[in-house]
Order: sequence, then C-alpha cells, then structure tokens
Amino acid sequence: MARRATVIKEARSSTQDAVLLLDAGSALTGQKLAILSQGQVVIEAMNALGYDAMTVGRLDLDQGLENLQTRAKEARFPLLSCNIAGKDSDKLLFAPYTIIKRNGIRFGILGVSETDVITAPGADAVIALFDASESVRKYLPELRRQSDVVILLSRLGLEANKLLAGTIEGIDVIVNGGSRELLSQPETVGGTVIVSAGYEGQWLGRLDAIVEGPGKTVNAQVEITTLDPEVADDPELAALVAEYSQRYP
Amino acid sequence: MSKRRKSKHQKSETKKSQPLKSETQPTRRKLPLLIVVAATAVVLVLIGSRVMGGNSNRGPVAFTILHTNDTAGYVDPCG
Repeated sequence: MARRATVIKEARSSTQDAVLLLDAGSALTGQKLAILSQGQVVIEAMNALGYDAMTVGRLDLDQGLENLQTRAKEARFPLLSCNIAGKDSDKLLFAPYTIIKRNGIRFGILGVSETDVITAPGADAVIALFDASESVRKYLPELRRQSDVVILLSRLGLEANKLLAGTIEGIDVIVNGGSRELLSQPETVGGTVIVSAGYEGQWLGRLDAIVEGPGKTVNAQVEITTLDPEVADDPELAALVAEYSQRYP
Repeated sequence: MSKRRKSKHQKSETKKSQPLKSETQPTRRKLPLLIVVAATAVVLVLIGSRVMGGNSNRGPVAFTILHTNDTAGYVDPCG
C-alpha cells in the first residue's frame, strides 16, 4: 500500500486530465493484517489513497455480510454491486452505480460481482445473486444517459468481460477483476477497452484514453507499474500499516 | 312567387359558399399537422441524444484511470 501510494501520487501529478482511482474487488481480506483487522486496515488505506469506487468481490464477503456493511460505512467511496441482493427482500444490498463529476466530465461507474460471492462463508443464507449480464443490461441505459464516460468494474473475469463487451453496447471501459490477468496492453472489443492489473497488489494499472462517444474509446494506452522494492514507501501509508501491525501483532 | 325567388336566391348563396369552405379547410388542417411533425422531430432528436448518452452532445473527453483488482488484503509488503 505504501508503494502504491507513491505511484498514485506521481500519476496524479503527471497529468492535467481527470484521474480516477478504482478497484475491481476482492480487496478487503486475504493477508494476515487484513484478516485480523477484518478489512479495516484496507479500507482506511484506500480512504487515504483517495479511491473513488470499488466493486464487491468474493473475498470482500469472506468475513460476513455484516462485517462488509460495517466496512462500507467506513469507506469514503462507494462499494458497488448491481447483482447482490438480500435473500429475503430481493433488494440490492449495495449501490449498483455511482456518478463522479471530475474536470467537468461525468463518469458513470457500474459494479458487477462474480457468481462465486455466494460461496463466501454464510453468504448463501443472506444474499441472493442476480444474473450478472442481465443486471448490467438493466442499469446501463440509465447510467449511460447521465454519463459522459461509462466504466464497468467487473469481477466476471477476462473472457466473460470480452463477451460482455461484444454483446452489450455502451460500455467505454471495463476494469477486470476475478481472473487476475496482468494486461500490459488493453484488450479492445468493439469500442470497449478492457484493462486488468494482476493480483495481490503487486501492480498498479494505468489507462490513459479518450472517449469520443458512447462505447467509442480511442487512444488507449496502458502502463503497468510493478510495486517492487525499488518503489519508495509513502511515509503516510507506511505509518498507517505500521500502526495496524502493532495493533495486530 | 316572391317566396320562391327568395328561396332560390338563398339556395344559390349556399352553393356559392360551399367552395369557399372547402378551400379553407385544407389550409387549416396543414398548419397543425406541420406543427405536430416538427414537434415530433424535435422530441425524437432530444430522446435520441439522451439514449446515446451525455457525451453525444460534447467533444471527446480525455481521462486517466488508475486501477487495482484482486489485491486480497495485501497491504504490506506487496503493493
């Protein structure tokens, strides 16, 4: 996280264009410190980094729905999913999308979760999962109407995302999750660009692009930064992680 | 006799007025029809632009997305 923070700060200062920081899910648990703090250290770090949105993945539900909802309240960014509903109510448990206005551009960000979320401990007792592509189709038109750029945070995996981009019009960018590919070049299907930045926080992805119209993304350039020891730690984030390490030895 | 003449006169006036009525009716019908067609076209254009999305009304937009996925709680040392 401390290395990620350094690269994010550099990236933000490198351009006059609008910059968004997004996560395609399964961020909150997995590593020891994250498990012991029930994802709190991750949310606090993501708040400090200024994340704009993330989608809900299987690992985010690993410590239960109630815990995830507590973390969602602590987050200063929305956790999105257009296909996770309550078991009894059939109402969505998270916002399906958010709209962020930056540099005068309206970014519509839609989140969709993978079918595996139902396998999280205790999840099948409290959540119902709607069909992913049908859910995207349901919310995309109203989001498109309100947005200049539409971004899908999708945990369906690269192959499913390519299929989705080929069958559903109007998505400008898909940030892939769920299949952990590291794409040094963007996948392009029609006018939709798909990006993916690996797994376990070892890389940070960057996409610079231009959207000329709905589903017409051009000049897409991808840069992958490996967050190896050559990247300096950001002092603020390093201190935050150190504090949590002391709290959960 | 006078009654008959009067009656004929009235009848001929009625006959004269009929073509006038038929000449004005199509003009009156055309005007609202044109307004309806024009209004419908404007509405369709507006609906079309909304369906196509907000950026159909503006030029190209440039942006940067920084992104992560499947970080699995890695806060230290990776990432």
